[in-house]
Amino acid sequence: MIHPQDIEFHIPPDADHTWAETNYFCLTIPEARLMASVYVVTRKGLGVQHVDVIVFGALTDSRAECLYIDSQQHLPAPEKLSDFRTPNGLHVRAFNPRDYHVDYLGQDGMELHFDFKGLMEPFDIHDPNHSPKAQATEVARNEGSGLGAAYGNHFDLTGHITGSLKLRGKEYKVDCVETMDHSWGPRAEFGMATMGWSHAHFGKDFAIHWINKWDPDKPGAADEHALAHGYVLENGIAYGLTDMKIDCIHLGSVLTGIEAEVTDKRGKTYRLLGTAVIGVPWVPYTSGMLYVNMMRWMLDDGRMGYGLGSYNTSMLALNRRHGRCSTDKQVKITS
Amino acid sequence: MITAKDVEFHTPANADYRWGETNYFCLYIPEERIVAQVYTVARKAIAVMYADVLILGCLTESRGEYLYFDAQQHLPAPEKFSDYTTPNGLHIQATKPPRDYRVDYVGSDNTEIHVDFTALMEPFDIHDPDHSPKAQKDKAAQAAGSGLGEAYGGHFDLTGRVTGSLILRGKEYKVDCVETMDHSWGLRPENDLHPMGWMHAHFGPDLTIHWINTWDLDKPIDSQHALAHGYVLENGQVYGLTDIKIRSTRMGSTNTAIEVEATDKRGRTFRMHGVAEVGAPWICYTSAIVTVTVFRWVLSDGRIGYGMAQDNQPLKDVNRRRGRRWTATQPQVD
Repeated sequence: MIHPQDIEFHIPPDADHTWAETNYFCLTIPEARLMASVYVVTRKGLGVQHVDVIVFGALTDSRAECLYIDSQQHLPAPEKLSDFRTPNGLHVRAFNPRDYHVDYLGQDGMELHFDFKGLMEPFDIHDPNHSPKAQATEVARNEGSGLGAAYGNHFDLTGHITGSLKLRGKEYKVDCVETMDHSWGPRAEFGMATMGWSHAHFGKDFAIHWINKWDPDKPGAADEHALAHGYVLENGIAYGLTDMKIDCIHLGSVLTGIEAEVTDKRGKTYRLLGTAVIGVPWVPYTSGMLYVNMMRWMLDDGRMGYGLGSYNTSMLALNRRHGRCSTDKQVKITS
Repeated sequence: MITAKDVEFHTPANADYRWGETNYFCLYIPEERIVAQVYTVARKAIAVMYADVLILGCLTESRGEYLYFDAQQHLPAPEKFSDYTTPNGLHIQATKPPRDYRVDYVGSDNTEIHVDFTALMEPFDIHDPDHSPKAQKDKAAQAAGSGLGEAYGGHFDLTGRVTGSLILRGKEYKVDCVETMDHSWGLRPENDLHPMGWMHAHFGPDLTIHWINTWDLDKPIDSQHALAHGYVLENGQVYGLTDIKIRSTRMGSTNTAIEVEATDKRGRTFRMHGVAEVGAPWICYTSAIVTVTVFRWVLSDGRIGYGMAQDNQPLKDVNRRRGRRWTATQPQVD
């Protein structure tokens, strides 16, 4: 269960450079096909913070085609996580574990101002009352979290986001449902787990969110993924997922589509199909390869929704499998 | 002029989180077409260090095809820059400051680097008029002309012989090459780096041509580059460059070919062509697109050489010019 004090840092006395605390917010403007995200990684054991703000508006495999990136890996860590300002113009306030306000004043006339209001209690992946996949021991919790010890403590939270995005001087109204998270634990940079973190929102009354494990060595795309944790949010109540089948379609590094079938603890099953409408490679960790996109989802009853689709692979895992010498066959032939 | 004490940190009393001090080492094994590099960025004011070890074996535009990569953004900064060990298994020591160094790395998957860097010259101080004809007197002019702004507020380049061994996933390779290292200190704000290049061509221990070039992204493609600083190292003597003409051919972000005409302070002009043999995008700053490419160079007298070439484009500048909405015409049709 997540408590009011969990909006502050959780720093164990023996925290070293690997101990990290993260916050992620994103917003979608489907009618303009724009997506923005704000991500911070704070390592209080070291006194450093990574702050990353991106805006994108096309489906691409090149960071060059992002509309805006302000990514700074070496900023001083703030005193408090509940209310902090960064030297590159970000101000994040947590009023309680459900509700937040984010302001960003960047360069080139770029601004973000939004309220995030939780539509549910924060979903604690290690609380058996929340997630049917919660485990009792620390070892089992880390093994099943989806991101190892980095998700040693972790909650996901779907909320209503309202405010504005100003991109190079042009203002867009923001009114969407999206999902944020907050994690704390040892987060070693080298060899992070391969995984996905995605959600589909169909208005304020219905959302499906999941963390999936990804084993690229398993045969067949549909067998590579397995549920770590997740929920169905229906009319303000979260029902933890018990099972999930996912088939992800990739074109190179681009996550272009997801077919999912999820079952919650009530035994209700939902099938949904998502297609990426915009997306970009995202590099908050130089040791990883991530892809983030805005999926347009269709539920099996015809409802349409939007939400972040993402995957995370480590360079260690990729390079072991895909590292290429000049004597190897050319792998990419186009035209 | 660079002295032995310049292998230590130069942290000013008012240093903030932007103050950065860097070291770069590289080695190439031409017969295997394998390049390895070691890069560190220390920010003493916030006590953090970035350490990055990269091994490449082909020309690719995908980081997925690296042979090995260990990049860690958030490591504790060491006490001394002259002799330090990082938690990810890197040990760098200035064995004969400021000329000679030892680099050891014991990483994962049976991957190790053990090399000595033995200088073939005195460190080339880009701000010393006895070294570089492009050196400027005052700090503002130095930053404007350095190639990387205030990040090169203090900067030296140094060509040396690199000998030792590389073990890649258990297979050992002998290393014996000439390459160029550098060391910089100054204000290095992550979101305000400059577009630029840092390149060299080594034709054995007797001849090297090294340069830092500026990069104006808005100029016509064949006139985007200009000399910041550079030198010809010939038979142990260094002659600063007075001019350079560079024309690069790029496919996407990959620099595939370069034509160069470099003139040193003696008035001697060297012409050469380079073809990319091994290279990839390299993300050492999450705010930039950097490519690292080893070129095989042919000098106009037929001599063959090798050397690392880096291109650096800040994302801020690239996104301003190339940021794309879904309504725009698809830029690439294969």
